[in-house]
Amino acid sequence: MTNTTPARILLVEDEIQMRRFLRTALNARDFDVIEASNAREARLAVTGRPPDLILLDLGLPDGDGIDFTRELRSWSQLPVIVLSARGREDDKVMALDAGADDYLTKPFGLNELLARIRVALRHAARSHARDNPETILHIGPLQLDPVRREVRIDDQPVTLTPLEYRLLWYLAKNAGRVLTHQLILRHVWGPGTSQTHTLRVCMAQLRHKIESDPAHPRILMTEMGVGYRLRDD
Amino acid sequence: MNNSPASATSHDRPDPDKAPGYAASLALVTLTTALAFWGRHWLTQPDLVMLYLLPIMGVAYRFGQSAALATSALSVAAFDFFFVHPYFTFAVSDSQYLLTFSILFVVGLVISGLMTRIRAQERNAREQERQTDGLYQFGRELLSTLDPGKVPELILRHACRLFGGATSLWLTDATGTLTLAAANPPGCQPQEDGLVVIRWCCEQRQAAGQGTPVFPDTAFTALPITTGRLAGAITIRFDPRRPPGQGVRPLLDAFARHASLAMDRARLGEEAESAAVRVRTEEMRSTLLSMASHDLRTPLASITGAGTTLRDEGATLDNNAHAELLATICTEAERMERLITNLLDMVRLESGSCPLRLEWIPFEELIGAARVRLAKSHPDQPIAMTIEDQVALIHVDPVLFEHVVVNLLENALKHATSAHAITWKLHMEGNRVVMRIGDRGPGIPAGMEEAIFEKFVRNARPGVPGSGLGLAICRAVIQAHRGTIHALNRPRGGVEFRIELPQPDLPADLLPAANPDRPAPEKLTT
Repeated sequence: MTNTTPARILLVEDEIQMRRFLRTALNARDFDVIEASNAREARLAVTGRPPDLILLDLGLPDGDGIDFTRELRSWSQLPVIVLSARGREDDKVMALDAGADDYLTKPFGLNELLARIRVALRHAARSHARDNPETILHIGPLQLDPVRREVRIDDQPVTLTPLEYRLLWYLAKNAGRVLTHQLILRHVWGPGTSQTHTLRVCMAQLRHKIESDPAHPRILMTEMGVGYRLRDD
Repeated sequence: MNNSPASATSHDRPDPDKAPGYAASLALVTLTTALAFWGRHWLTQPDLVMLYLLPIMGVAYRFGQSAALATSALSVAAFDFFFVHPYFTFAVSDSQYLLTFSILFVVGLVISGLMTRIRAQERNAREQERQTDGLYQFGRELLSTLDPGKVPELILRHACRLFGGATSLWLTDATGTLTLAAANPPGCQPQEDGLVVIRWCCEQRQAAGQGTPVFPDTAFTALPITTGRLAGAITIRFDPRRPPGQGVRPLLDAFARHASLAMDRARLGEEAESAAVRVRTEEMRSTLLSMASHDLRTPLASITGAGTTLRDEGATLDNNAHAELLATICTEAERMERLITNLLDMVRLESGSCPLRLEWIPFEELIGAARVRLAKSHPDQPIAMTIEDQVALIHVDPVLFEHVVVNLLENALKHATSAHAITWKLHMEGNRVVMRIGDRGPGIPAGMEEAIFEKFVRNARPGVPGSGLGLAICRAVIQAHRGTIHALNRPRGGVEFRIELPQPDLPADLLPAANPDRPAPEKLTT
């Protein structure tokens, strides 16, 4: 982050040990941490002085974290990272479709958490600067020029079909975030297309043009059973 | 009482059936008369009378009472006509002959009565033998029936054979609702108005209907059967041409007892089956528990040990020791996580609580995702592998099949002695996709080729970690896909796993990708 004020993180978690670990770790990284142990406290904290990001545990004593996310999304675009011990793909898809920006399954390492927080904050900052859609995107070895519809990988131009370009552009705009199959299909193909294999085949072609080894991707990552993520680190 | 069915039959016999009896009696009396006439000079008159008892006996035995009576009358007439003075008239000179006639007639009557009884008893014995034999065969077939579901049908088939007519089997469930279990011939069960009789029979556990004091006007007889705490009934509608006699009751009761036993046996068989399943589940659970308590406690012990050491002795430890203890905590925690994930996957697969979500997915995507996952968990073990995929898309549950790919690659990594390459080949054989995954590790000990897919079986050198669940999960996933997985040692060292999965036809919108080479991107885009 370039701004000097530390980012404020709202930590919604009912497990005391988990809160202690996260508070200590995040404080050490110069984040300002506010704590809430249930959904009621979280609502209060959000409406008071909104934080920059919310770390949300799904299993709260007074309600489901997914409902909280949905409620929040009706009036705010605050980045939300869901932390959950439920590791099933369905739960991830549900949380992401409800509007969560990312999903971390417990247990997770600190590095992974910090990487996701960075991505979410960067994405939020980028959304604020959406007024300028002509900015060239630089993500790792990837370079996208929205005006000239030009894609370069390691400075080598790549020819994409319009559909592949739209898919890559959508992933790049949300670089670092997991996008569910349904979300991608809705944004790139438009409503009415729900066949996941259509997306999978298009993704395979895109990988063949962008990845050096499509069978061991380093940019276009698969979150099996959930969706895709364009790597951003 | 026992002979009444037989006597009923002889009384009811229609006239044409009696004609042979009368003819025989006429013939025999004629023959006897001829014989007596020929021997009249050296036989006394009482001898002649005795001679006439023979045809009466014979006819009584063979043709029954009425023919015997006719024979008696004929004998008296013939004796009077030929051998009583005045000869060749029916006139009688000496009144003492009237006594002879009466005695001859009475003796004939008694003999015929006795003979008829002997005959009836004999016929009865034969009938009983047939029924006993029928019951015996019924019992034997019941014993040899292994499928409990076939028992009702078997009961009815035998009921039809023994009693004729139409039969049906009714059972009540725990709530007392009466349902038809089977009918023979199908569709010939009692209708709505008969149900009250069947219900009474089930509730009172007594026979009802035709031939019983309860609802005697019903067209069928209902016999109670019991299985466990539940009751049922067999109904028999006798063939009108073969109505049941009184003697059929013991047989009916015996049959009902047999049927009850059979139903009980079927029910117990089913219960034993489900008990066996429960035992297997219990065994699985206890193995799981004992293994969980050992394999989960080991890493936990390291974590606790390292953690308490850091807390209590942290001040006195040097930097090196600090770093080492911290590394222990992290590594062991990761090991525990993998173990728990595997255990949960296994339990989920075994409980059948994860329905398959089959989708078409490029194989490359599966292997790519698996390699990324492995690169994260085994950062110091880069995977050198070659992929020969002649099949671009496979139809699997992506999430579950990713487990198969990860576990097989992990297995190869674990056992590989050096950075030998792993090969993964795919091709189609008919409508099955065949995958052959080869490594150059130490191979499988002889005879363990199937055992390695069992839960908690490990084929690892000492020091190689593993839960003994990885390959078991692979097999469970592949079996859920109705496929097969086998392992064999390769001739030049290492193991080859062979997976076969049935595949449906490609959907129309994916057909251009069906060519065996890589998908041609330009052709695929819409």
